[in-house]
Amino acid sequence: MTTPTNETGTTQTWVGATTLVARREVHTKVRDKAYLAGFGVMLAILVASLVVNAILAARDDGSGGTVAAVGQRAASMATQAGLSVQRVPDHAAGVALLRSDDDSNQVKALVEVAHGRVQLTGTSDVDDSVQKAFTATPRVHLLDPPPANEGALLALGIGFGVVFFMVSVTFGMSIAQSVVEEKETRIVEILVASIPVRALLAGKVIGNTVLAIGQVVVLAALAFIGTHLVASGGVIASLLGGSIVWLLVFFLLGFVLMASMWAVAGALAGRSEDLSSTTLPMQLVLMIPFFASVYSQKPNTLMTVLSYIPFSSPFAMPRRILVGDTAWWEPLASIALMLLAIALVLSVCARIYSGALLQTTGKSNLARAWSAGGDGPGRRPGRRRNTTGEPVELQAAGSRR
Amino acid sequence: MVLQLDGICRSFGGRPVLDHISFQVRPGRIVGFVGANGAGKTTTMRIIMRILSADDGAVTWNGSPVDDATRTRFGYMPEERGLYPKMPVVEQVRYFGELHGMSAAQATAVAGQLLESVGLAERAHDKLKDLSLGNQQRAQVAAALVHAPELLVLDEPFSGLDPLAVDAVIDVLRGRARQGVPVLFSSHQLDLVERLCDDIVILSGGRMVADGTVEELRARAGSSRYRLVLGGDAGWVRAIPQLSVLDVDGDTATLELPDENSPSGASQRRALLEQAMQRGDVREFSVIRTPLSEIFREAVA
Repeated sequence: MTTPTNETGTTQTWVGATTLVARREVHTKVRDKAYLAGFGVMLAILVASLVVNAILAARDDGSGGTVAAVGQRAASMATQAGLSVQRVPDHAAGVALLRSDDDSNQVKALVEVAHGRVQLTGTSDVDDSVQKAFTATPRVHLLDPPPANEGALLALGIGFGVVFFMVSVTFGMSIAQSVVEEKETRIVEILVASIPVRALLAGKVIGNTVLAIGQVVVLAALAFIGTHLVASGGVIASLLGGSIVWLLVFFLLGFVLMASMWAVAGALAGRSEDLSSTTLPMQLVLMIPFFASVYSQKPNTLMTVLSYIPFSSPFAMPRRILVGDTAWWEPLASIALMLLAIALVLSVCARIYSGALLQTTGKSNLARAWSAGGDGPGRRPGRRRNTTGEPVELQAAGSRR
Repeated sequence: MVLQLDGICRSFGGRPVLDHISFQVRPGRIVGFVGANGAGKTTTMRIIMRILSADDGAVTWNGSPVDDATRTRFGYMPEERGLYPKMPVVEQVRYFGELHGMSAAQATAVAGQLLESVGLAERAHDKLKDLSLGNQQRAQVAAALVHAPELLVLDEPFSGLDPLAVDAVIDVLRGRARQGVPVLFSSHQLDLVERLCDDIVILSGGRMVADGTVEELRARAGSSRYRLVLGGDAGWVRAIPQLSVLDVDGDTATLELPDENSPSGASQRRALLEQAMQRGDVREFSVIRTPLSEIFREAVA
């Protein structure tokens, strides 16, 4: 900072101001009882559904059952694991036993020991109860792996879309509300006289992104732990696999892309009553891609196109990744487009936000806010004839630093 | 440490609201900014804080134009105010301190002291929305002062305050002025302005109509008023030639005499008093200090 110091110490830096704003957003939210209650209900529903699942799964689950074993070591380990063992001479015999159509066949898996590790072979599935019987997690090999569970993947993809939609709207509205609150109470006049407008915007975006991601991570962690406690856990975990990282990346980028737009929706409103109309476009921007991606159930051209358009890619690309419809470079290309869009949207929104922030006469319009926002940085005060005559000009602090 | 406004002009939609406003706020001076509603006070203050831009003219601080870095060292209290409704008072004050670059510890300490000096120490941890409007106002004053600003620009800091709160805020402002901080504040409470201010700037319809100390403004009026209370009826004063009698009410006469410091004023007063004493009892003969409200009315008339 080249700005002089004041009596109390140093002038706030850009980063410092942004951090303070972000921290306040988070503090305010986590102390908001309505928000906590909502989140609590969400957690309760999730836990309840896991418990119900676990109870149903427990009912299904019989004892360990019978397995075939190759070799003395495998047989004794299986016995130790509390399974009843049927010895077979070799792998081929075990497979034959597994595949036999005999109704009396109780063999659920073939147990072998290779390189000190237990390997289980099953036809299309290995019972959880068998897997859990061993102390060390066994390696599982399936003879006829089931085709990717289309129904489950579809549900997972849509579920992800729903979570993204809900969290985006929740925290997007929270950004808009936080902006309009500052406008309504005129705190904004003190704020813009204290810190750069863009630091204020950045702080809001970062604070709410942290909150949104935090909430998703808590939900995901709980779901992850929960599904591992119930029988079907292995299935979901295997379905998700590495795509969980992609899901989070698309979630993060998708949220950040929209965040500054929510701030603009807040800045265009004069009072919190105006929010329902100024945030309507935002809700549509979320809803249209959401439904478009829900309705195209199978991978198709529409889905491919949607997975590259920045606003719909957080819905479409994760679903394509889940069903394995993507080449390795496709998510990366989509992310690159997303980053470009974020850069563009942020700079446009920062300008509109600056311009609309101090318009206190009711709802603002985009064009006016745009031209007002452009006046801020680099403009010499008092040397410009006012042509529009609207009381909207803001000496945006963006020129500082 | 001088704030200087030089020929500030501003219009909204072709309607001029400020027309060449020029005045100074000098170190340690408390300047009262007076004017009817819509006279342009708030617009002027917003221009000083760079929340609005001027169409013409310049605002300088110690001789250089006010920029973004400079204005962060000013303390500002906006016209329509509010802080975060759901945030505890002390946290808001601390937040504004930190936004101005104070360390958390420093901001916490100063916020506590300030809230105590405006009489809010006991409510420090209450949410703002749970406070009365007057107390919210006190919190607002504290928020404007937390970063030890070099200049104070306060839009109606006294509106809605009870007399005790007014005194508390006055003490705080006087304390800052004693440290050399120039203070500019607007108010409609003219008795208060008269009591507190060193200088007064009067705006009317976007123009400056008066600027100076209260005494200077009075002197500019040119004459002083006197009250004469007699033992009997005061009607005879009307018969004295060249004496401007404003009012006679039974035993009390209100008169206008030339400025108290002028020689002709002194001889006129002596002649009047001698005549009154000859006629009977004189109970009171005193200068009526022209109240600021009157100076104001005349100035904006």
